[in-house]
Amino acid sequence: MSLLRLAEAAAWIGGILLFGWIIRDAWRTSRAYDERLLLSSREGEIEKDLREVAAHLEQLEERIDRLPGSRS
Amino acid sequence: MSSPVQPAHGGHLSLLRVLGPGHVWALGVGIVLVGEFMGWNFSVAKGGALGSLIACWVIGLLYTCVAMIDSEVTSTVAAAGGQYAQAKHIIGPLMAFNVGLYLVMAYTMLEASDALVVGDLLKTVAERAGAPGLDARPFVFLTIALLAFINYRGVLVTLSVNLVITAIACAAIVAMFLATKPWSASNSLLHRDLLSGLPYGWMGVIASFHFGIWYYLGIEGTCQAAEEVRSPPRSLPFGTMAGMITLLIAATMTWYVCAGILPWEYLGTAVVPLFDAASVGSGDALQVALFVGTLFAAVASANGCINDASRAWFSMGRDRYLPEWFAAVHPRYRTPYRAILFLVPIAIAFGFTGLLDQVVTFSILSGLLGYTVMPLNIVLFRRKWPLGSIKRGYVHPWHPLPALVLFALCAVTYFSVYLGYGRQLLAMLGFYVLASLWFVFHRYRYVRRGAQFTMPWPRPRGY
Repeated sequence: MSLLRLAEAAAWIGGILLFGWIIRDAWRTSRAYDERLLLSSREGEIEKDLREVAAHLEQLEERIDRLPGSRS
Repeated sequence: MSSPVQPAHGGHLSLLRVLGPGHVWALGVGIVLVGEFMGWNFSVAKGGALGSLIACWVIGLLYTCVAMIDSEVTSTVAAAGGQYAQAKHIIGPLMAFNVGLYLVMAYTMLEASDALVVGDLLKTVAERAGAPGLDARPFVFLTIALLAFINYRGVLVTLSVNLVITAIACAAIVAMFLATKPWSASNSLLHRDLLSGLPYGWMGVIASFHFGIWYYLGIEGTCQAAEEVRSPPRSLPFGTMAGMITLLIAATMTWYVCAGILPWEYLGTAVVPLFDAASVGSGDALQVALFVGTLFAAVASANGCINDASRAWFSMGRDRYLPEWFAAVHPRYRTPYRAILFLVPIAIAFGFTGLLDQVVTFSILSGLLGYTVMPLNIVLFRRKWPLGSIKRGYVHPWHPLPALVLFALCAVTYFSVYLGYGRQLLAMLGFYVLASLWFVFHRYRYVRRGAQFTMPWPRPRGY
């Protein structure tokens, strides 16, 4: 077998192994995790952020209220 | 990134913000730089060497407008999908679907072309080494599979690899330029003898615009990284503008060297013109440098294209313009792994055709359709959210002049493409019309339009 044919065979095998690894990992990942967790979403992100900020503000207000000499 | 990461909040995984301005530069320049090593020279066959230089600068102006407009909108609409996400927020779903499809097709075809170049280059080198008959297809397959593997394993490693190999490819162009000693009276450049005016007149110059696009095709891909850069308002405009400056300089240097060494009749048909220029009267070291530069440029381009095409496909899945299944993020590598995997066989299929100029033309046409939307995009963006009404990372100057120039140059370039590849132009337009009909009559019912508006801006009517 000439050097050229050897290089071609090595390239085929390398490509198949790499592509095969990707398919195998993608298959295993999809089976191992809950589909809802895997799916990315930006829907309602602003509302989510606002809710987090509001919750954080509430916590801050409670801490301020607990400080000695606070209005309440 | 060695262990699975829990979602930040809200029960969904997201892409990782790990990139800096250098990665953005590498993404943009990496995709495009292969165009300096091959492909641009087909413009010489259309309009002669001088016609190609005019195309280089006129199309450079087109892309400068693209970069200016893109930097403003992307630094404000920082979401994966780039121009697709912009069209979604600014124009509407049908336009967004089309823009997303233009992006995916442009980058996937470009990826296939790059893999073809790798195969052709290895074939050429084998022939020159006295071993003809190398089959390019296994190397096309290996290139795409290897780069898909790297992309699958993480964006930071993908674009860090791109940063290194793009820098090496850039250095090869500079080395070639310096080796010709343009400042010396005894240099080997023969511009006086080789430049023969405009062999096909001004019509030839306009025809050369088609492949003049190849000098810069893909620089707008920088904004696909919007969701993965640490500071989008700073990194995206800086990376894109620095990339555009790099490309303008590299394109002019490439033209100067090649037009001074190779006659235009040969230059217009060469597969790897810079490598050929290095082979004429240069030492072995420079030839090796140009071989490595060409190889790395093609690999960097394909690498960036896989990154960009998968982000656009992923974003369309996330918004339900395509099945939501494509919107999955890998829990360990935090990459859009299904989108990456899905596009690999398509790129391989186009790569196996071996028709470099046809595949490149489909890529150019898809890119051009995307650029044509940009003027409308920026005009509506400024009208719906005037300066001062929302926070912008960058404001491009002289609006609406860049939009008008971009639109006019796109129109001229369509005519240029029509002159050489009219049938392909009509076929491509037909494909997008059919895809639009599928979207309107079948897919649109799945799109929740109001819920996709993810920017903290005053919402325009209709959302």
